[in-house]
Amino acid sequence: MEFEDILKLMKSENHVLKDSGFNEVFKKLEQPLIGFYMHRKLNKSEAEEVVISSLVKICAKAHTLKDSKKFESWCWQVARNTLLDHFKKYKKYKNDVSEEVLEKSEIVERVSSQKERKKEMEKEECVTIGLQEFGRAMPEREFALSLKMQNFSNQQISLRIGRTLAATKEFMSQNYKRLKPFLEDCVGGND
Amino acid sequence: MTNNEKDWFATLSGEKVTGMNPRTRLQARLVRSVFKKRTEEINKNINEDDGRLHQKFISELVKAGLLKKKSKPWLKKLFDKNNWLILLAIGAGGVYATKEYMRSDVIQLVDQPQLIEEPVVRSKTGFWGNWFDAQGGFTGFWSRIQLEMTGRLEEPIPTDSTDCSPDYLSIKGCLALANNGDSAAQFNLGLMYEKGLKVEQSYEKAFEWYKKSSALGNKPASINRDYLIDNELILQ
Repeated sequence: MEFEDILKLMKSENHVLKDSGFNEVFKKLEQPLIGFYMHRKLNKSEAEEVVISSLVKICAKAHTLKDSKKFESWCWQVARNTLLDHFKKYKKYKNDVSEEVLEKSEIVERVSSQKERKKEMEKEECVTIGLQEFGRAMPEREFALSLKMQNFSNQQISLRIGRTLAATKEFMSQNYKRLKPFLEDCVGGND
Repeated sequence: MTNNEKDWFATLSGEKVTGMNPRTRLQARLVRSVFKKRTEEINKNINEDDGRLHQKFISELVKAGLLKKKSKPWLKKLFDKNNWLILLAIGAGGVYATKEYMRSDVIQLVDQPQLIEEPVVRSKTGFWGNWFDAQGGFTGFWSRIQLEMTGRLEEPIPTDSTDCSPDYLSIKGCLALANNGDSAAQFNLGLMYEKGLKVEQSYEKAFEWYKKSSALGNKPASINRDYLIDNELILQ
């Protein structure tokens, strides 16, 4: 069932149709949302708690949405806002590290200090460590890359990260550049 | 986006790209492999959910007033909270009633003459008749539902006389009442003749007494009368 049809059900006056709309939105978003929250470093029980909270907000406010075509992107907006609320509540919020900060930060030093060890590691293990560090520093970028790996289009990624299509293309391009320092020496340089 | 970046992203998405830098390809493939493992790990966690999250979602919707609480099935409701006390009381009544109406086809020999007691007179209809036996024992609704459960009653029913009761049956005691138009005693006589209790078994006589009793509105008697006909124990 498409998001537009689900919204119609949720807006219905008939309580049977409305209930079925609630169930459909749950079916449609449960797994992508848990995946999203777990990629954003929540553990499973935290992710479930935030999923429920997001879905209840979606069900409660859906009737206020006028343009049914925007329902999917609106749902993701609610999901992101709920995640921010969760981070604020538990004081876990951290912005992605900026490029300038990254250059000076201990993250690069930490990665550099592991260079010697990396040489001895298997290549995949080296990439795993590099991606873990990247995910800690820039969880949103890591999430976007994992979506790309799952063959999501830029349009689909833009819905989930809450950016315009053009901004998403730029964001993805930047992702590659930001990731580079984390994977240096794993395969002996890129270019 | 440079060609190198495009190739890297294409490889990350699982496409096969020819003519690209081998080190870039290897890096993209390794990143893809690590992401794939992580995603599989997360998906495994998600798939372990057994509908528990949906239940939680529904209860949160109910709390938020977005969904009406569905009423529980009656059986579940019955076992909720303190209802077990009521169930226990009903069960105990049933057990007691069963004991009171324990059937016996064996004639009880009485060596000594029966003491003549003032018969306990109680109405056999209404609240008392429905819930208690002639001796005042609580039977619950057992005596009523037994008829519906078994299709017919094969046990004596209480009368105003202790000589014609579930505890003690005598042809003399029952005849005295039956001739005065007591339908319960007439039923008991029918049963005595049908089963040969303290009398010689006779389906014909049983039929006659059941017929008389049923004419006075005794439901068990009419069921037992029909039973005799249906099973060809009596010729019409």
